[in-house]
This record gives sequence, C-alpha cells and structure tokens, in this order.
Amino acid sequence: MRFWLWGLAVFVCFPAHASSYGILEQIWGMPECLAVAGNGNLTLGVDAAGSITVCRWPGPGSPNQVPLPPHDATAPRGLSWALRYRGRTHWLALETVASPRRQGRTLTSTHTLPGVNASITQELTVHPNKNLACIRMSVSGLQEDLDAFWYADFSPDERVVPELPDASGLPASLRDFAVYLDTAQHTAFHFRPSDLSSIDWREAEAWTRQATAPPPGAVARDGVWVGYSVLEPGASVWCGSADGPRSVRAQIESGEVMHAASATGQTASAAAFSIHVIERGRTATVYLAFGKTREEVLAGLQYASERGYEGFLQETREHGQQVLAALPRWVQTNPALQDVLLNAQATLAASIDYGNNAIIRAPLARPPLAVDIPRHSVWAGLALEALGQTETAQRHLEFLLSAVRKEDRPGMPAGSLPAALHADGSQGVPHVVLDGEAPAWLLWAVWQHAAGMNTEAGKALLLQNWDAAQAMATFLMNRSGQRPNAIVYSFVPESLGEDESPAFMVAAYAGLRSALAIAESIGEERPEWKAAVNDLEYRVRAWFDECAGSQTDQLQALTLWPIGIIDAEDARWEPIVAVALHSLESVPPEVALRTAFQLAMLWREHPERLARLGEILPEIVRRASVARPVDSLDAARAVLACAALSGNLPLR
Amino acid sequence: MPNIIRRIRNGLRGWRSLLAFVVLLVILVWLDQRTLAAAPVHGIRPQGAAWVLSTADFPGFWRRLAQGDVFQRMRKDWPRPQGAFELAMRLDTGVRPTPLRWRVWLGKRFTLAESQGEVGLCVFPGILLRTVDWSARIIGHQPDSDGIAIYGPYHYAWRDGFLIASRSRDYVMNCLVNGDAGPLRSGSDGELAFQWTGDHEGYMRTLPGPGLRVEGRVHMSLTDGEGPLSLTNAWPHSPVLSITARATDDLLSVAAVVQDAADSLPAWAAQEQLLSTALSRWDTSLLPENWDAGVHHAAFALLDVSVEDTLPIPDAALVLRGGAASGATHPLAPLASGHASIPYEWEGQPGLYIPWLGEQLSPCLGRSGRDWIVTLNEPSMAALAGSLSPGPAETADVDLAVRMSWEKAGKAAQGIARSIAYNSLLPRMNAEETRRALPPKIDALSRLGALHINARAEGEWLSFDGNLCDPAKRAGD
Repeated sequence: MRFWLWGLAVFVCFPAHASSYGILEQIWGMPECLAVAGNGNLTLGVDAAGSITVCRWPGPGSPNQVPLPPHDATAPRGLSWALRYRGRTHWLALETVASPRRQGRTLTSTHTLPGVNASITQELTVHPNKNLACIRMSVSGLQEDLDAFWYADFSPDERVVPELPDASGLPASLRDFAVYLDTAQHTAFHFRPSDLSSIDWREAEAWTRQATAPPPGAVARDGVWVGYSVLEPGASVWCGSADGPRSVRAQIESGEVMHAASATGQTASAAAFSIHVIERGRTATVYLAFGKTREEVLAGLQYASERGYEGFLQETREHGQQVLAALPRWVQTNPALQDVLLNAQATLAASIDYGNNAIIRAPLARPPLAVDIPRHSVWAGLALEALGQTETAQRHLEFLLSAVRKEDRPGMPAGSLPAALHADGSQGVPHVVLDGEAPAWLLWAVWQHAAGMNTEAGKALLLQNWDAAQAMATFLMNRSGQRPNAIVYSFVPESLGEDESPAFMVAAYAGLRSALAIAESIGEERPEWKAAVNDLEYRVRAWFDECAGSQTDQLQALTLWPIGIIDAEDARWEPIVAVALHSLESVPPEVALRTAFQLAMLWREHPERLARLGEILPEIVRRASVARPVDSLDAARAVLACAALSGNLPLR
Repeated sequence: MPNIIRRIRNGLRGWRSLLAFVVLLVILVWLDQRTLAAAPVHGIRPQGAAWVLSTADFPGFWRRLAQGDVFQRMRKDWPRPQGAFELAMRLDTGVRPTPLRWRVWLGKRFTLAESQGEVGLCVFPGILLRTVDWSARIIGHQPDSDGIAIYGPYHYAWRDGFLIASRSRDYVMNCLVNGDAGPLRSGSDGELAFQWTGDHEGYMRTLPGPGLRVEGRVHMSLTDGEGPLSLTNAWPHSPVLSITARATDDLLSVAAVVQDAADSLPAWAAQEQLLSTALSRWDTSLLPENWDAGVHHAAFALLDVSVEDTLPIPDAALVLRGGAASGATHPLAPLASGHASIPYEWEGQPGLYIPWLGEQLSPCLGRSGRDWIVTLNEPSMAALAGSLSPGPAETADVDLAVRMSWEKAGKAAQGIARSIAYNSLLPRMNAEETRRALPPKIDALSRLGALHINARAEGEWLSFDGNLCDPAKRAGD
C-alpha cells in the first residue's frame, strides 16, 4: 500500500437526495450507500442510518463481505448497532436516520434514540495502510443504563464470477461458511476458506455441533478471514445463525442471548456492551481486521489494540496530512476549490484497487458498479495525473491495455476490450456487450499519457503497447466504417443495447487520431487510419451542424470537446453554450456536472470563458457529490474541471 | 422341567422348526397381502396441494423403470440415478430402499405432495411397519395429543390405514384434519401420475412402453385448427427445442406458462427484472392489430446455445408460415422503429439487421418462400433462409407440437456445467466435486433420444401425449 494513500476517503455529506443511475436503478434498486472510507484495499461504506452495507475486501472491486441489503426495511442491514433499554431493542438502522458527516478524517453519523433523551454517535475510521478499521459508538446525555449490541452479518467470499458484475448477488447458500469465537480474546472470526469441499462442510458442522474449537487444519486454510475484537471491560462476543427463530438478530431483539461459540452456514455474530449512566461519554469500540489467513487477522487486531483508539486515529490523521502535503500546488493554493477537490480526490483514492490497478466506478452494494468501466475509468486516470499521481495513472492504463483482446472470438473481436472489468482482469459484464467507445478512449488516454512523459519513456511505452494500439485502431476503423456516410451504432448504456451513437463517432475519431499520433511517434505509417479519420471528421462536422441547428440535441454537441474539430471560438458554439449554461440549474446534478465538465474542457485554453464557470462550479460539484457521493467518474470530472479552471489540465 | 415344555422344545428342533417358520412366514405374507390389497387406491394429501406425485404401485413402477430401456441407456454414465434418494432415505431411516424393501415396509401406495412449501408422503404399509409402530407405542413412544409421533427427522400419523409422514408437523396435521382423500390421476394400473394446481392446472401420467410414454391434460386454451403443422419437421438441422403452434398467440401462451413455473425459482426471480428491462426495448405496442394475419402456424426453436463463456447465449429463431405476399414488409418490422437497423438481403429477399448486443444477439428479420423468419444473429438467418423444408407435416389434429433433443440439450448443459464448476456455484461443493458430479449425469441424460409431444386443443383444455425420451426419434422427426 502506498504511504501517500489516504487512510480514509471521506465526504462532506448532506441529507441524501435521490441519486440517478438511470436504468441500473430500475433493475437493481437505488443505491443505499452514502459515503465510503477506504485505503485501496479495505473499503467500508455506510447508508443513511449509519449501517455498514459496503464492506469490500481485498479491494474496492472485490466482493462485498456482507450480504446485499434487503429491499425492505424490516431487517437491520449489514453491520449495525442496536440498543436495548426498557425491555425493548431498538435498531439504529430501522428507527433512526442520520447523515454521515466529516469530522477530521473520520466518518461520523449521529442518531437520536427514540424515547430517551440521548444521542448516539458512530465514528468509522479505516486505517491508511492496513486491513483494519475501527468503529466506535459513543452515547451522550444518558439517563439510564442500557445494553448496546454491534451486529455483524458477515458473508465472506472471495469469488469473482466472470461476466457477473457482482458476485455478492449470489444466493446466500453460496457464501459464508463458519464463525467461531476466541472468548479469551473477546474476538469473533468469520471465515470462508478457498476451494471448500463437501468434506470441509461436514467437518465444520461436526465441530460446531460439538461446540468445540475448530481443528488446526480448518483454521490454517487460506481464504477470506474477518475478525473483530472488543476491549471495553465487560464486553463480550457471541455468534449463531443469521436466520431463523434463534438467529443472532432474534436473540438481540428478545434480549435472550444464547452465547453459542461457533456456527456454520449463514452465520452472524454480535458484540455486547454495557453502557452505564455513571460514566460520561460511554463508548463501545470494535476493531475490525481482514486477511487471507487467521494469522493476518490476529496480527491486525494486535496492532490495533496496542495502539488503542487514539493511537489509531493519530496514525490516520498523520497519514492524511502527508497526503495533503503531496498534492500538487494548484490544489493546495486554491481555497475556492479546495473542499470539492479534496472530496473528489478522496473518492478517487477509495476507488483505486492498488493490488490490481483497476479503478472502480463505485464500490456500492447496488447497483453493481464495483467494476472498472474503461470508457469511464480513463477519465479517472487523467484526473489522477492532474493530481500528480502519474505512476498510478500509468499502472491503470497498463491494466486496461492488458485486457485488449488479441484474437477474434464470437462477439469479441480483436482490438475490443470488455465493457467492464473485474479487478482481477476478468470480464465484468456479459461478453455480448460490445462497447465501441472503450478502445477509443483508451487509445486517446494512452497517447495523452505518453505525450506527457519525456520522449524516451513515452516512446518506450508506445512501443511496448503497439500491438494493442494497432488492434484497437483496426477495430475502430472497421466499426466506424460499418455504415458509410451515416452515423454509426454502438452500445449505449442508457438503453442497454446498441443504437445510433454520435458519441461513438466522436470517440472513434479521438481514438483513431490518437492511434495515428502514436504511429507517427514511433515511425509507423498507417494511411488507412488516416482515411478513416478523414471520413469520420466529415461525418462529425455534418452531425455538429445538425446539433447546432437543432432545438433538442444541442447538448450532445459538447461531446466534441476532446477532438478539437470545431474551435472553441467558433460562433456555432454560442447557442449550444447558452443552452448548456441555462440547463445547469434544472438538470439532475450528475448531468449538470457532466455539462460543466464538458464546458470546462471545451474552454480549457480560454481563461476568460472559463471564468463563467468559476463561481458556479463548486456548487455544481457539491450537488453532484450529494446525489452520487461515491462515484469515481463524477469525482474525475470534478477534478478535471477544477484543473482546467486552474490552468493545470494534463491534456496535450 | 415340566413335560409340556420339554415336549415343545423337542417339537421345535430340526425340520419341524423350519416347517413351523415357513408356515408362520406364509401366514404373515398372506396377512400382509390381504392388508395391502385392502388399501384404497388414492392416498391422502393436503387440500389444494400445489402438486401431487402418485402411483398405486410404487415398488412395481420403480422396478419397471430400473429395468426399462431409459435407465439402461443412462446406466453407462450414471449407474445409479436413484443413488441420492437411496442415500438420503438410508441416512434418515437406517434402511437403504430397494423396491422389495419398500414394498415390505411401506407397501405399494405412494402419494407425495407439496403444500405451502412443505413436502410429505402418504403410504399404506403392510403388517411389518404396523407391528413395529404398535410395539413402539407399547414401550412408551406414544404420539402426542394430536396423534402425531416422531421418528428421526419425520413427523408421522395414521389415518384410515394410511401412514402420513413429513419433516413438517404442519403438513401431517393438515392431512389429519383437512386431508384430501379424493381420486388422483394415477389410477390403479401402477403407472405414475404427476398433477398440479393453479391457473394452468393439469396432470401427466406415464404409460407402458419403451422410452417414457406419457399422456395428460393442461388447463390452457389454444387454437383448435385443421391444417397440418409442417414447421415441426422443417428445420434443416435438429434444434435443441422446438415448439410449433397454430398461432403466435399460442406460442405466447406457452411462454406464459413457462414463465409462471420459472417465477417460483429464486435464481429466475433475481434475473427477471434485468431481463424484462432489457426486453422492454422491443415495444410490442408498435405492432398493428392483426399483425400476424395470414400466418397459418408458427414455430419457435432454440437452435443452439453458445457455452464458450460464462454466460450461455441462446441462438433462437421464430418462423411464421403463411401466405407471405411478394414485396410485403416483415410483420415484425415495426419493432425496429426507434433503433438503428440495417437493410439486408438473404437468398435474394430483403430483410433487416437490428443491432442489439453484438453479433450474437442482434435480431434479423427475413423471409424465405412462405415463411417470415426472425433469428437472433445473422449466421442463423443465413442458414435458415432458403433451407426450411415444407414438411413432412404432423397429422391434422395436432395443434401444438413440442420436440427436444436430449443430446443437444446435454451439450448445452455440459457447457453450463463447466461454468458452474469453474466458479464453484453448487452449494457445499468445490470445483472438482462439481466436475465429478455433473458431467456424467448430463452425459446420461444426453442418451435419452428425443422428447416428442403432440397436443390437441379441446376448448379450455389441451390434451397431450407422446414420449419424454424416445430413443427412436430425433428432435426434428
């Protein structure tokens, strides 16, 4: 893990607005996650009630280690708190709503307990460079003793299923395995070894039936291990099943704890704390660790307990200061934009899988966007370059380039790449989805990146990836030439199918022109690409003229900004710009951000025009971060728009 | 020792004891036979059970099935298809079932049913189990106040001589209090019947003969016509599955029945929203009324399934056979409105290529002679255009024909099994175990020949008969 990573990616979060992932929400439901904290390995996300519904490890694109939150609100979700007083259990997830907010480097949510004059504060901190998190609940204004429970419904699994965007959606019977306690250490372990066989299951059922500790062979297995400890005096842990009349949840609700020491199947566990009036600011703290082996988890918990809560926070704060200090000068000296920039940078940091160099669109539980979508992630890479993280950006490009298909296969022509990728490089969506824009923008991004390097290094990078570049360019040439003198068709995510796509035409032009530049820089000639570029230019110009004269399609013309065919000073832009600026107040926040980003890119060399955006951009970015608070594409657009305003855009 | 006892002891020695034992056995067997013969034909199940599987002679049916040609064909790859059932019974009851042991312990009658998610069994045992149960009561294992006792994981009770057993106490109670003892479709001939309730209630029962001959009825209203269906046998290559009907509405009715059945599967429910959203792209409200006027009959075929990647991709076709006028537009062309579509030509006839999801899932609309054709990809359209034969036709009274090739279905299933194994998608089994478990069973099923069902519309009902695994036929026959 890199030391310049943030220990915590946090957001200034405001009361939740309806977010908009369009057709994805129609299929999978609205996102519940409002904010994430991550370090590129462990990523935790909370919903409006402070429940941890996103728990991705070992990367933001890895499976969610808690079950998908239910659509109905009758059951607590993920990892959540409950309090029992006056003979009744109150789940914070069901009875309170709180907006997570930033306090230093910690994500905080505050709840008011129904029926008592007390408030609960949850603080969630992810360690900057270990697979560790700390969750602390503080109660203030207490006037009667109560019991607090931290309910943990982990569902460990390491599987990534090719062509399935998120294996967390697999049935519960295919995830989870067992839980057991180390009562002396007040520690609970949830685990699922790799390659589980029927014999493993039978043996696990035997040792849980006998209420014995798991045998050494069982705990020596690699897989997904999750452990948590509680250190407050009097705190205890127990476990059981996740469902049924005797589930851990049912025990919390009834107040009748059965204190089982192990369980197999769909399991859950809980930590119990006694909160007393006599002590001011009583707290309940859980240290949470992840690892491939039990030893890794134990080492993590040991590390956390040695430092204690304040030490944990101190390390996080220090790391955050290091990250701030490493940011480019243009970020540090730009007070008007600094808040939105820091938020956006934090989102990007939480979206990078440092193990595999993928950049995840959004590590939500739903819709399933914890994948690298190349046509979007190239912008995140460019934003990282603007923030001075050039090496990370290059590794990401190499990750994408390794996914370029080298041979024709049914539905997967050579030169194309998957429309979405898992962090391990496998396909993230069904292979029938052929995204023409992905190789186009990848070519463009590779050229942008190489052109910003010194001559030798840039040329070496291009030579190393020349085969992939040729394949992509050939694909684009064939694809964009499918209908002479007509707008071509390509996959349009909003309609889940292929339609006429001027955006693809523009992307193909950008990609092929970049491919030509790459060829020229290494001494290759490709006249057929040149002919395709000329043809596309003709069609793009014709389409632009149509848009400029249209009442309804003008905003689409802004997609032309990367290719520079129509000069930003051209008078034909005026009505388009007028419509775009006017729309910023009325369109959904993420659309407003996209429009503002496109305007900023269009005007990147015209400071006097950029000034029109300067005053309104922070508010546009803020509204978008409320609507889609954990989206790396929005974050990238925010960073790049700010970089354009500051004259620091890494575009060539 | 008193003389009488000495005399008895002497009497029981040697051949006398053997003779006495044989006589006793004969008496017991006779008593057992009388008991079984007195059994009512139809067992007890809950009122309104979702489905019922029944036979008057389960051990006889089992024996015939095990010795019949179906199991013989499967035996090479799957020696004991009933192995999982046998193991489960042995683990639960301590007895590995065979037809003889089943008859001795549980008798002949067999009624298995599901109600409200719970499954239970009703049998009419002979004297052995009755004696064992009676003995258990004597030594203290009494039923509860409702008359329900427990054996291992099973709750059980007696009613009218029948033994009702289930893992669910509620099921047993339901049968005791409100059980249905009315007639079942199985009859008294020892064949197996499966019947179900719901909007499309119906039944299917086996018939004697090679393969697995069946007959039955389904509550379903289809077009009753007179002309023979020729599309059934028109395919140039045997498809995986084909369904031929007199009207496109009939095909939609069949699809609705399949969807109703699939709705109960959790795996389907999870994907249904995704599929329905994806398919909403094709706005059927754009089709004019009577869009399929002139179509004599229609056929849907699953031509193949691509299983080279994780997600299986279907290759399907729809053919509408009728008096297609020269120069007429394809009846489904309005569905292309609002989407990119490319004029195409197959066998000299104009058509449309409608991009959707790459080259494997982009519908093509074409025509060939009297046939309007829809395929999911261009190569299939190129293969079908000009290649659909005019017949031979089914007999004129057939209103719906279903054909399936077990071999081709098996090939697709093997590909899916590979993905399941690779991703460890079977509960409690790793990849290696899945690879050992699934492929041999699929190979066994692949040898079953063809499913061949013909159906006739009779008002609100559809009667059908045919063979589930006829070795003599291919799916295209």
